[in-house]
Amino acid sequence: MAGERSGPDTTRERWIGGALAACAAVPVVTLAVLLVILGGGVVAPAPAGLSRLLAGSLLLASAAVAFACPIGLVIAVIASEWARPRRRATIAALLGHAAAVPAVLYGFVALELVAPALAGSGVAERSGLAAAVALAAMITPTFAAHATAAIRGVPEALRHAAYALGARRLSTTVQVVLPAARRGIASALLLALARALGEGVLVAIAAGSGRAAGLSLGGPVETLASWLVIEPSSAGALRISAALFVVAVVCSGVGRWLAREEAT
Amino acid sequence: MTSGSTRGRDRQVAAAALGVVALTLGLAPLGLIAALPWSLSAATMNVLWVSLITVSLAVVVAAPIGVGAAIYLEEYRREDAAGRLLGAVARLLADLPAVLFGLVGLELYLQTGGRFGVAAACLALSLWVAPRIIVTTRTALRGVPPSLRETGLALGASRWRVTRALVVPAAARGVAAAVLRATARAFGEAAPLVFVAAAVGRVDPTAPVERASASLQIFAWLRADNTWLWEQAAALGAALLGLVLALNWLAARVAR
Repeated sequence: MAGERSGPDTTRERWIGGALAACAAVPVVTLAVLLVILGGGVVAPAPAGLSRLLAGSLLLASAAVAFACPIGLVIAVIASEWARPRRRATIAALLGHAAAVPAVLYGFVALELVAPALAGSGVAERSGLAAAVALAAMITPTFAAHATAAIRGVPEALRHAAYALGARRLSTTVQVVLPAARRGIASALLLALARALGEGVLVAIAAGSGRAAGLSLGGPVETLASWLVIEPSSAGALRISAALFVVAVVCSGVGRWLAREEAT
Repeated sequence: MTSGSTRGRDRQVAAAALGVVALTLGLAPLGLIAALPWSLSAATMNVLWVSLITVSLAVVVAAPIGVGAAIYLEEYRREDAAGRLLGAVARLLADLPAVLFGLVGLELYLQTGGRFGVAAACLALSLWVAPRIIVTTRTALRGVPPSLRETGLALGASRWRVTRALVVPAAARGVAAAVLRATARAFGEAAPLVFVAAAVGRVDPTAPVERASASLQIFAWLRADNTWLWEQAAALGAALLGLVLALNWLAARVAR
């Protein structure tokens, strides 16, 4: 790469290339260390509540995605199709700021805003529903940003063709643009699901824990991640971590695979 | 289209209103915390200072690694099987639940005989932040037009010379924004620290790991059923939110 030159210059080049390669190897080393640690957990006997925690994770994450999906899609359509260019930039900037809000604070919101609002309808003070709503609020900005990118990737020619056939803007969006972007939207949904599955702090605050925890949205619910942040030093932690790792990798892996054309 | 233009505008206004509602939902913590009675006690200020130092340390470690790795993947190994694999691993780590990084920190803490609690927590945080910096920095580098690189290479400059003198200056704002954004995220994420904090807490309950992260401290305070701690958590939460949004805003300004 350095051409035909020799001497200190090439040696320096080689050193710098090596240092940069070492930087790029850091994630690989991290992953390897993590896999070795988790491998030790797979051998250990499974703690009693593993399947309940897994079910809790899937329940809360899918509820959160179900809440976030319609709102996020509407935001994405506005940000990519309907708003004027200047407003699009504003929406994108706001989404970026909303995505940066720490998860603990969403837990706070769940306890102070969502739970009191739900208290009238027989929902416990710490409930899966409050956690799912707060999770939805947390994942909506990122989901909307990914979906916006997916919708923007739809070729302009498709829209023009629809308009030329006399379609209105709404029907163009719903019947032409969104179906064309379905892979990217599905990918954004899976990545949002992975994020909701992995969020422990918010769920631990909002959905409660302990003996009362079950699998009903109206009462406390424990998930893999929330259990880990509540009892990190208990014996089953490695096994639970391994389960969380597998679930998260499958979700985000399929999500990234669906969007493989856009990403490099 | 002409007859539908006013209706279209109505729809756009309605849709914009809905979007604003959704965004307010996202930014609700701001209003909520501002509405609570709060004051910054000495303990809260202490947590803020310590977490400022911890997060800065984590980013100081992670930023060179992240930027270096992104440069390697984009400038040295673009369109290359090894580069694609390394990039996929970085993205996988960026998508991984933050709690899991605590396991690596915990391992380090235990392997070193339990002497470096805060350092292990810091390392866990930087391992979590580095993949994020890699992913966002790569995007910034990808925005540099290929013609710039080709010009440099055609003039006989080496790969590193082209990177240092042409590509990095052209992408400098994007790279700086990537690091700033990652810093904001690091302030907001408590999960990578819980394993180390719990392990240290078992040995020495007064150890400063919990205080090392504002997010972790808020989490601990919110779980305690104590009104005073609750108010402290609100105060710290307001300060944390202000800090995170300021960093994020700065990143957006720098990137423009």
